[in-house]
Amino acid sequence: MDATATKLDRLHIAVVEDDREIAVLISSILTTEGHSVTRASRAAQIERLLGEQHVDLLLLDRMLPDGDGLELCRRLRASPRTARLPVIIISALGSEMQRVGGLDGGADDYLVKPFAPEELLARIRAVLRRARGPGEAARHDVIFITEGLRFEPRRRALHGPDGARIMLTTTEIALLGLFLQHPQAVLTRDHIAASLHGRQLPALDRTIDVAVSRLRRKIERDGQRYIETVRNSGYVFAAPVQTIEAG
Amino acid sequence: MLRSIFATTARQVAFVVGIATISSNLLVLSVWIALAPGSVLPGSVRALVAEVVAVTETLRALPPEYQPAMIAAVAQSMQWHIAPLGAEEPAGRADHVLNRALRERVKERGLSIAHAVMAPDGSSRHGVVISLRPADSPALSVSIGAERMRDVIPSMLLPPATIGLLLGVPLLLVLLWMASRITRPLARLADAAGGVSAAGHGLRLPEGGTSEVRALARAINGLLERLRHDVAERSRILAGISHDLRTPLTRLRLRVEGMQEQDLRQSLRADLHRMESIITASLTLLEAELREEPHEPLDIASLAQTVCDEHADAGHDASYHGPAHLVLRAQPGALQRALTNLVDNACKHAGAARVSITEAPGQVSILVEDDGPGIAPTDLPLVTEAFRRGDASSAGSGLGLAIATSVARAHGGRLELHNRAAGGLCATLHLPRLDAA
Repeated sequence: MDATATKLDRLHIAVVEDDREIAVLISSILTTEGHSVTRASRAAQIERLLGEQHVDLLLLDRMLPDGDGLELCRRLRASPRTARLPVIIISALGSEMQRVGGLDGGADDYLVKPFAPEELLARIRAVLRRARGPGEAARHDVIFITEGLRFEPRRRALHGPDGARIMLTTTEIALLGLFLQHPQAVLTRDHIAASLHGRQLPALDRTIDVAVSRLRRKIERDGQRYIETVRNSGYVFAAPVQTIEAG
Repeated sequence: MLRSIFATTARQVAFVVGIATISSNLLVLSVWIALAPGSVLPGSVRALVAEVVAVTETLRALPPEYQPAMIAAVAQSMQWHIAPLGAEEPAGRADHVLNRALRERVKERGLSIAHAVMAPDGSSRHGVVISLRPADSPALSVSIGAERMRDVIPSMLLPPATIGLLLGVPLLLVLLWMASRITRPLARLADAAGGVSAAGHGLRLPEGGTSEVRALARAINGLLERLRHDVAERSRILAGISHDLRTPLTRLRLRVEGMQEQDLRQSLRADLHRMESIITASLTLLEAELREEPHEPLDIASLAQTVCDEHADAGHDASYHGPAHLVLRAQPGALQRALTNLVDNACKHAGAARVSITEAPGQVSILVEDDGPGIAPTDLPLVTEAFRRGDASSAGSGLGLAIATSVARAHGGRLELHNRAAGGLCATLHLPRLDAA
């Protein structure tokens, strides 16, 4: 996991933000961390930049002078060149509907203003971990279907066999996503910890086991077993998983 | 019982029209019978009786030596068998309708003939035997065969009074159908209006049907239009406030990080954090009032579990005891926000929260109990109002309970707060079960 950590160190991050001072402040936070930053205040500028240079991550304001940041995000997702570019929307609009709309528009994360610098950096790390994570199948634009369960990573929504929404904690969402990307594969506790928390956990730490047992309680009914425990090793999602493109 | 039968306007209309129709028919019928008693008999019955009387009269008028020839001719051409009759009546069931017609005909002609109509087979359709006893000549019987009787509409068609009432049943069914057609636009309108809050914006009711229904639909559409306009304006204001307050706040927040003085930075951070949470809570309250989030089937047990787990992960003592699954139509995000606020309060004031779910017919309740100090009884009605706080010095926006109340109302339910007998507070979200399933 050290390799991933060093890889995160030098990034080219593009910041699209029409408020000059906020853009400058964000840039200084990122450059202090050792990243290189390109600033843009308009959608047109950033589209030109993305055509010319390699960008590792895009921080996108939702309200831009020349259009909706969400529209830009959709355009980026539609173009093969930028379809996999990690995008974090940064917006003053923070309602549940607006967040869901942002994630539906293809953003990897949605950060509501105002935010602390540490929070921004943590979100960037989490998004890049997902994008470059093991298996690299951490795509958002898919729907997983297994045993009547329907999981939409993009909306962070799980629906049960009866069509009812099942609520999950942030950890459970990440855990379920990891299982569904790797069905029938044994995932060690270390592997799960690295994917979820970006770090190793102490040998006797029960965090992963607690999270798995909570997830089991929510998705397994009538004595069915989807997640099997592999002794002294980890867990395996045993049920067959179907992956379809989100419409 | 009666109330449920006449629960719909359609049935009431059908009933009124039915009663009016039947009673007016009965009135016409009684007037008719009073003015022309004979005319209520079926025409075919009267025709047969007239023939019988005419043949009999002709026969009696003939000299006796010609009578056998006429009897033979009648038997030949009409298949009527005329024979002399003894003292006793022929066997069989008396046909009252034919008897009555005969009596009226004899009276009309001013004759003096005693008579009886019998159906030997029990049914007049299979043939009748008519006995005629003129005062001045020998008695005779006229047997009429099944062939002729087939043309006579059977006596059943002038039925006893009970069967006459049965005729009203199909009439009532037709009326019921017609009345339900007349009131159907109203029912459709009610359905459409009921679906408005769930379907959200852009919905218009169909302006069809009778003029009253059209006027009602137009009025509701006008109301919806104004409502939509207000909602759109509130959304715009909300977005404006969000942007205009949060943008400078973001600048401040980021600038503070660059400050050198440790103490000042700390206190500014705390103030900013407080402003931020008040703005977020205010906006959340306005959003809850806008009710934009769509309702969907939600496993509220998983919601309660999730809220408790998130608090437990953050180091609080929050636990859920209740069913593993329970599905209700709800706004997942809003309900999670409401429950989070209640559990937050319990953790903040009592250090621990116990969440449970109870079911009653038509209602589900989510309870959040704690062992804290509770709320002074005089403050209980006030704490759910925005910007009111039981304890003025406590941290927090003071909007948590107002948001929970608004969310409960958006679900057609309510938030109830009461001090537990054993000490501590119990906050209950009562949510109606709209889906019968």
